[in-house]
Amino acid sequence: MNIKVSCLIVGLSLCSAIVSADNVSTVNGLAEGVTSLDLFDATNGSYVKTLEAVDVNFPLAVLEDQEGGYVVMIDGKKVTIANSFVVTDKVFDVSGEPDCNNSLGNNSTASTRGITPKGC
Amino acid sequence: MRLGSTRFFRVLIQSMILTMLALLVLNYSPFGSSDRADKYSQDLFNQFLGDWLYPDTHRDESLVLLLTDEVVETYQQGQWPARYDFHGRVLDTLLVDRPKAVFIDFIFLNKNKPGSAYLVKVLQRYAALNIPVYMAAVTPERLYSIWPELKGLVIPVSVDISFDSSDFVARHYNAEARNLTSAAFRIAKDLNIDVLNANLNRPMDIFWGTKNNPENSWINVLPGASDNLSDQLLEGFSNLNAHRPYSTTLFVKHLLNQRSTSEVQARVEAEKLIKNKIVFYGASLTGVQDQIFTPLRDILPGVYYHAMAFDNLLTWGEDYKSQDIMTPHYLPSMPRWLISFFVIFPVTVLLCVYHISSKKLQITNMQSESAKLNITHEKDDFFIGRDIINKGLLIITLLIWFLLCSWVEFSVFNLSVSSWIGYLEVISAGFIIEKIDAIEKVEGFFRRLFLKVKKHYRKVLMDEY
Repeated sequence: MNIKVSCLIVGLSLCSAIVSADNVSTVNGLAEGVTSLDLFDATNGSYVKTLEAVDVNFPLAVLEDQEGGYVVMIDGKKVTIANSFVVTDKVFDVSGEPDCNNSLGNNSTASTRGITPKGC
Repeated sequence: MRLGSTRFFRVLIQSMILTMLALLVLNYSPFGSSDRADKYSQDLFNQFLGDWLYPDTHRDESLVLLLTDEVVETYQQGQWPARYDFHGRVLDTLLVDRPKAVFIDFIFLNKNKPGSAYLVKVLQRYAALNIPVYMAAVTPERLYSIWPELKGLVIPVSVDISFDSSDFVARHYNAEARNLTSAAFRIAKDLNIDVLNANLNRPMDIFWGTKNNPENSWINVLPGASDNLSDQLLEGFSNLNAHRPYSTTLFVKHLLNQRSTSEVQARVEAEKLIKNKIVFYGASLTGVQDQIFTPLRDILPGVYYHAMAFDNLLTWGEDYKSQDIMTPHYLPSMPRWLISFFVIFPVTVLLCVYHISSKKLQITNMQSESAKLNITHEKDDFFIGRDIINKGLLIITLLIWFLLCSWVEFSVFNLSVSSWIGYLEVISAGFIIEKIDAIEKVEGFFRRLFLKVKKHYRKVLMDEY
């Protein structure tokens, strides 16, 4: 079974969107059951504030599709909103062969994080 | 009649001596070699019979949520430990699909607590929905000294790991450590799983699920040991394995960045994976050595250790497997040595009866030889053939008996299967003893000693008269 098919069967996006060509332009509203929206800093991901549903004016133009979040402009500031909480016009591109790295990451290293290739 | 009762007592005495020797072999061996062999055999048993013995009936009730390097690269610019609002974001996304409970397998020790306000906010959302959150802690006091705001929001649990010093395999799972119940036990108890009456001093021997999990077919594994059965049987655990994990797994990167054929479809699939599940949230990061070596010889992130122990509790309740005996309610409680005695004593009786019978056969054979009357090669062949058949039947009987006993120990007394190789050692020891007539020599020694003491005592009495 190739990776693409297995992604569709297993569900969710089991392949990273590194080379995906998804297309999204607008956030149309909050997802079902969501009553507030958490805003995160668009550059470092830190929490900014929470807005109640009534305080958010939809639609919002998507400035950037980050992996797992959309950068939008709210109150004149660029913020990220998590994609699970909103409804968008996103069209997923699952036609290509995504670059999956779905290993458990058990590359045993005799090292502590901080001096390994990846990390801080 | 007298001859019969003499033989009966002889068999009884020899059996008792052999039983004591066997119990010694089972419990004491040079440099713990028997103990090592037992554990190794237990792992082999888990590997080869796991599919038959461990049902996957409860696998769908839990989910491992795994944080990997890519997420830290993408969301934290490679910084680890991550900011607490990042964990808050993960937990908040999880909350959309209403898990039954969440266990956070991270020990939060950063006293500066960057982003902690948002994490607390998310945990309050969990509390509002009555979804329990369990958090790894060294001790509750230490957790609350850094995080007083988490009181009432999380349930601290122990995450101690029990490595075997001989092979570093994470076989045992402690029910508690430092007066703090361990994650799997606490969650199981809170969910009213049948461990409420379990003796918490009884550590679990995790039986690792071996059934293939189709939900994990997307996980890439490195080439491991050969899957060929004959290679495995010949080599045992000579190489590292690389099985896909038993527990259903979801990566954090897939939780945060849900993709499918459509947004609606992605939500449906996410809900199917998460709703009403017990979620074990842990990490597998380069340079963060939260890894375990499983009885199946896989290296896995530590969070699977808790998830597998929890699955054992779901599957077997308080009948989970352990080195410590758990007598069923319909039987009187008994120590392990007594069970071993019940297993071994019939064997030793059988061995002694066989030993005496074969001696008798030899004597008969020798007598007929010395008589030099009916000596024929056919007669020799007859005795040799009969001896071989007897020995074969004896070995088969013993193997069936020990397999049966091992099964009873496993399924009735909830002992992990670790003693059967010890029993095989007992058989071997029995045959060696039989070859060198050790029991008869020991018996003869005691008989002579008894007679000497008796003679001496009689002489003393006579002198007194």
